[in-house]
Amino acid sequence: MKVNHRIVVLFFSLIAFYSCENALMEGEPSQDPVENFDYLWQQVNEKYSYFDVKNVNWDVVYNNYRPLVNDQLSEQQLFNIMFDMLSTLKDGHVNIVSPFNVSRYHISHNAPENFNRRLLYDYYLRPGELNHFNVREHYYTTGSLIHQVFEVDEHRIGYIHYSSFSNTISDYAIDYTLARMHTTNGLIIDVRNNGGGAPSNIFKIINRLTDRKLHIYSSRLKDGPGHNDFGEVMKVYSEPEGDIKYLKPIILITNRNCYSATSFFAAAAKAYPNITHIGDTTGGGAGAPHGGQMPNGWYYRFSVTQSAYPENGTLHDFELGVPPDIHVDMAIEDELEGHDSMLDLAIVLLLGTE
Amino acid sequence: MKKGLTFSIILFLSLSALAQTPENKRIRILNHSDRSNYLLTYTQAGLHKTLDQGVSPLLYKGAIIGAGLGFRSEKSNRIWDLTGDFNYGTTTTEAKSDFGGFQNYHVSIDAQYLWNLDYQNSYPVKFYAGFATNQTLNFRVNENMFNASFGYDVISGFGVSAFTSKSFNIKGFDINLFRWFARYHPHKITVEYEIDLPILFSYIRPTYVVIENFVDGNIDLYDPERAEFATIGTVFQLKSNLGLSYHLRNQNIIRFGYLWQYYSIDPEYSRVQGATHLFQIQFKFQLNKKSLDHES
Repeated sequence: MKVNHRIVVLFFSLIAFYSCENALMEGEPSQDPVENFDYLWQQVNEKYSYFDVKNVNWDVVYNNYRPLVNDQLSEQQLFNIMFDMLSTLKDGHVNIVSPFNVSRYHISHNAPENFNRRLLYDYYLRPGELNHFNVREHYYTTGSLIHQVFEVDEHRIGYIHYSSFSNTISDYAIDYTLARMHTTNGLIIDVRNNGGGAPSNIFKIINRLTDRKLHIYSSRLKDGPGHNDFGEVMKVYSEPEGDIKYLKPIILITNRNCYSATSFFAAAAKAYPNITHIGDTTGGGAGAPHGGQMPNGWYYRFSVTQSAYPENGTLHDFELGVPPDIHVDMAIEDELEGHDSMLDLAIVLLLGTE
Repeated sequence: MKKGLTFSIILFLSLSALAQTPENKRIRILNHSDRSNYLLTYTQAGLHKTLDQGVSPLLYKGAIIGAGLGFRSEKSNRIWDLTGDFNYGTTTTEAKSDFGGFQNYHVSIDAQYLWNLDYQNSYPVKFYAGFATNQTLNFRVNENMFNASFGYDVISGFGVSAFTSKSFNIKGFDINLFRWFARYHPHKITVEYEIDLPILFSYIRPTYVVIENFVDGNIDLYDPERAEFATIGTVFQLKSNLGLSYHLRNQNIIRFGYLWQYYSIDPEYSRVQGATHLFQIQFKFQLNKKSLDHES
């Protein structure tokens, strides 16, 4: 077979042509502390959404922390400097994740705990001699929802505890739980210590508590590198959903450990005339987080949206928390006697609404 | 990954057996026109790279495997074809502190119509040129990216395409090896090269900040309403395929190909680039068999 040499040359030329992308696609990892620090600072500078609300001058933060970074830093030292830098944002949605540590901000720092799980189960949910309402039936765990019915002076009060919006609520679980609450006179939804999760679960509950479409909050997304570059305000609505709804009086209980999706849930409750919000201000977390990666392979996340709920004709940003309609903390003297002051107030309020 | 490899090997062996089925067991439709219609099936494996600056400054690369299906019609004056394939792979960075990686999913649908520019066969190689359109969907998931764990770029392109080929005849010969005799029959092989360069595009990328599972309760897969139109520059895409076709005596073809494709989208933020190297084994089943005397 006679092989045309020009074809052979063409073949090898094409093979060489195929590696052209190497010149166009860089992206080699870098362990250089300065490069990594500058990259993270710049990403936050261009995309973080709450500098104004947090009253943070990010250039000043750079000037404070950048001099601490040099080529001699160990990974742990660099991580701790970045940890401190991001802590100035006071935002629970801000983290760096390295193989050896995760940076975080405690949203409930110095706030009352306002939740005693042991007390709740011993004195309210479990049947037994300690139970305040002499309940005879064990509490139910239907999917991610824990529920019980209290009988108080011939009134029936429903109680639902939802511990994490990360736990998916199935249609069956919400149908079953609300069906059990059908004969109650009022309902308590307790989301204390619920640190958030998937916003889709907000709508699994909130859409069952209304018979009309409600504007629950508005959000906007960063769309440019300037600190005030945001896209259009997007209105978010709840809409009636499902065959089984609960339209009677509802008390929502929150504490400072309620964060992110739970704050969105509390914000949404403001639009509901049948819901009274009691307890402590939520931990906030109205900025939905964006994630990414640094040149050394560590991951990060921080808030890139702003959200606010409508009340009395104005929008109220809730990055710093959703305040309750009635503030109440757990009293230590009540706790010593096996009483949850917040839950007791919720029951009193429901009895008074009839 | 292992399952994918096993599946591909089984697919390859099955299709090889089908392609080599003796002629007397097949229903033949004799056709004296110069049109050849082919059913295309192929499997492919290789290397994929992604650099999505919306979420990472690092290059992700890793193995990819896939399969496709198509139809191709060839005449002396034109060629048209339609193919679609699905590929899956995992990619990682070279950063020693990176414990994550992307699961990559790629769907590609291509169509082209090419005219013979040398109908009189005055040159030693055949040369066709025309138009091509493609729809490429690149999805990737890295759970370590939190709410930006789902990355995507969707490109629809329309542009020019060119195809050139040169055929050679391999003479038959006898093999005599320690009293073991075999005859290699004469065959035709064709060296082919094809290049697609889209010029007009529409594309969908995440917004300035990559975010999903948004506060309205919707998971943002991709919203077609956000599609942007662009010309070459903002989007660049190049697809190049070098192949060797081995013509079987039953008029089916086994084609060994090397596909290289590169794309970039630069909407002035979150630039993304991707490149793929794929080794292909393609089986072209001729649907309209010709009479043997017509075959050149």
